[in-house]
Amino acid sequence: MNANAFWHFLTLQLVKERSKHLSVILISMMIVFLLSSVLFISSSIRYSLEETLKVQPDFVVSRTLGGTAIPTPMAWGDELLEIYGVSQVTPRVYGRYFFEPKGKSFLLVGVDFMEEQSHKNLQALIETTDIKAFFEGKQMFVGQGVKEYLNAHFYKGSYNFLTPKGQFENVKFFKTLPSQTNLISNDMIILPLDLARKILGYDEEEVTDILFNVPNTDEWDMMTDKLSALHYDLHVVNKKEVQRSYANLYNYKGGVFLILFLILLATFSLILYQRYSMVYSSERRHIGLLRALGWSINAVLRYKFTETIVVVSVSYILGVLLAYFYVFVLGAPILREIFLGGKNLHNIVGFLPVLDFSVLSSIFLIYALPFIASVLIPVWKVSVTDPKEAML
Amino acid sequence: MMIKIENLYRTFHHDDNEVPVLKNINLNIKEGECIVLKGVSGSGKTTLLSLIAGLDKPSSGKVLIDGEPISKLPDLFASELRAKKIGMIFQHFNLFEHLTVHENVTIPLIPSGLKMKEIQKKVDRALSLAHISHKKEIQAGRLSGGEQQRTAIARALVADPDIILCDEPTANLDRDNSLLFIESIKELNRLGKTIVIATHDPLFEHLDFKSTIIPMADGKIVSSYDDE
Amino acid sequence: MIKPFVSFVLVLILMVFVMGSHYLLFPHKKTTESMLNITSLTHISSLSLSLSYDESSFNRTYPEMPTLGKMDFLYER
Repeated sequence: MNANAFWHFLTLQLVKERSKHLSVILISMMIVFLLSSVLFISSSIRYSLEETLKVQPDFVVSRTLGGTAIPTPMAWGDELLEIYGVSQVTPRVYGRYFFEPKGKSFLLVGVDFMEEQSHKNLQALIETTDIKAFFEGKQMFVGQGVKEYLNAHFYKGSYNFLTPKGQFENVKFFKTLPSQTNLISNDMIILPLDLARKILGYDEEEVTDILFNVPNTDEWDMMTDKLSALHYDLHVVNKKEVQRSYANLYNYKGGVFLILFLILLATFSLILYQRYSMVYSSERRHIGLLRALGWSINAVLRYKFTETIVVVSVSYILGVLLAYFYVFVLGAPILREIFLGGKNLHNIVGFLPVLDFSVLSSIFLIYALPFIASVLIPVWKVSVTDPKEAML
Repeated sequence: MMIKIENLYRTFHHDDNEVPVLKNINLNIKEGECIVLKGVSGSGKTTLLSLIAGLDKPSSGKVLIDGEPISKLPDLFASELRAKKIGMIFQHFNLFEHLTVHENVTIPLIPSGLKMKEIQKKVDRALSLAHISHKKEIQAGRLSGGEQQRTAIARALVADPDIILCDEPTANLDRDNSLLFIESIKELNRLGKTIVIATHDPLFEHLDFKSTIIPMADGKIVSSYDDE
Repeated sequence: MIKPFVSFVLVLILMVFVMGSHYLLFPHKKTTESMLNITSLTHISSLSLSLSYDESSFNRTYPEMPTLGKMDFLYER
């Protein structure tokens, strides 16, 4: 068979019978689009989290009372430093501040700006920051979501925080955190350490929890035992547990998508059934006719196989393109809410484009193989029987 | 001998019943002959045509095309034989209605291995032989019955086959178009094609060119045809 | 191949090319660095999940477990 003539006829048939193929392409494209969108979002978030977790300290200790977290004494930090193998002990002050009228909340984080590392990070994050100006009054860095929300509620330049002691603390907006960090910083407010303590109700010698590193991972299990022996009310969490809790979160989200995927699979089977029965009605006659006109079984199968491959590939490419545009250009409206929630602050996340080719190729196989089989098996069945139908 | 049919039987099985459709058919058709298989519907003429074309397999007996047993050849060779030597014209024309006349006529040549340029030449020749060149860019579904039949003739001629098989070619045509079709057949016969027509149309009883009528009834040739 | 199909394939290739360009030209490094900077500055890598943090809410099925989707539970009560 001459490749030129074959492709001429194939493309001619595809274009002329486009209405027949269009519905199949559209539905298949939607399936690929949904699957790819979900995978694009999850791999992008996963990648960002994995990257940020790399710089997270190995252990977090906090004080608990009856299973409830209570302020941790700063003195624990000094005790931790005395343990052999412990390095980079960092206290952390943070907590949620509730915007009472609407039940929304912000994540308040206290940072010791006198520390050289914090200074460097801040300079890298917001290049034009004049740190001297920041210390001129009570000021804060706010996430995009916080800024938008407070602006919408007429807090244009500053916000009055109510401390647990019943006093108001007026804090000015200094800078907004870059939108690339929205995935983490959307509901975040960064304040000087002392101010954060005041608003969250911590004493000077108290922090929320204490972080530290144990570079030798073989020591981790033993370290947990040592720490537990240090204080009866000490609660310890290591990085592996954090990573596992993320995995759990994804499993839960995965469950939602399992249902979605099952619905899609049901729809897909319907399309396949439709294709299958179509082969058995009008196409049966066409195949018989081609055979009567001198086409061999091989030629008919080659033609139908190539036609199906073209339809499958076109819908796959269009689905992936649409998903890429939807997730990485538009920021996945609606679907984003399923992943990040939509109850608290409005979050416009610019997902970091991540293309996981192994996942993309699995989608292709999961989708393409049943599709091709559902067309080719009946075509083969029709082709091998005597084509006298064409005579009737 | 162009077509040789020996002791041909074809039986269909419905549930547990055996329905014999063709019973002991013996026929020799020479090159350039025009044969009219005549009989009422159910007499077995379409089945005989299918067997000659290799579209169906006999229960016993054989059909030889130029000495080759078409029903016993593997698919690839049978298809090649059919593509090169046999052109078919069907009762319902069997055109791809969404394609143009020109595109329909191209179809038998697609698996031939010819280049597109050569295919175009052959298609143009077939279209002019069937007097349908002027409608070549029209969609087949929009043609009249007569025009569809002429497209089917062009498609049957495009591979320049030696044998033309026609199954009830005038069943869906009015009298004028039927007469036009007979004119075309006469022209094909003049070109030396072997023609086998299965029909019940009385118009084929008095053709003004040399032809042989073979009456069929109940799966048998009722009046013997002797080529000697 | 017939012209309309060739045009369609060309449009498809162009779209893939646009996607590839967006992917390659996207400031991956800058975005990742910003994320790393904010994490290093605050020592917080929890997702900014837009859930309502209702203090009284609890997991009804497993009361001893934290509520699902709430990442800060590791550091909170």
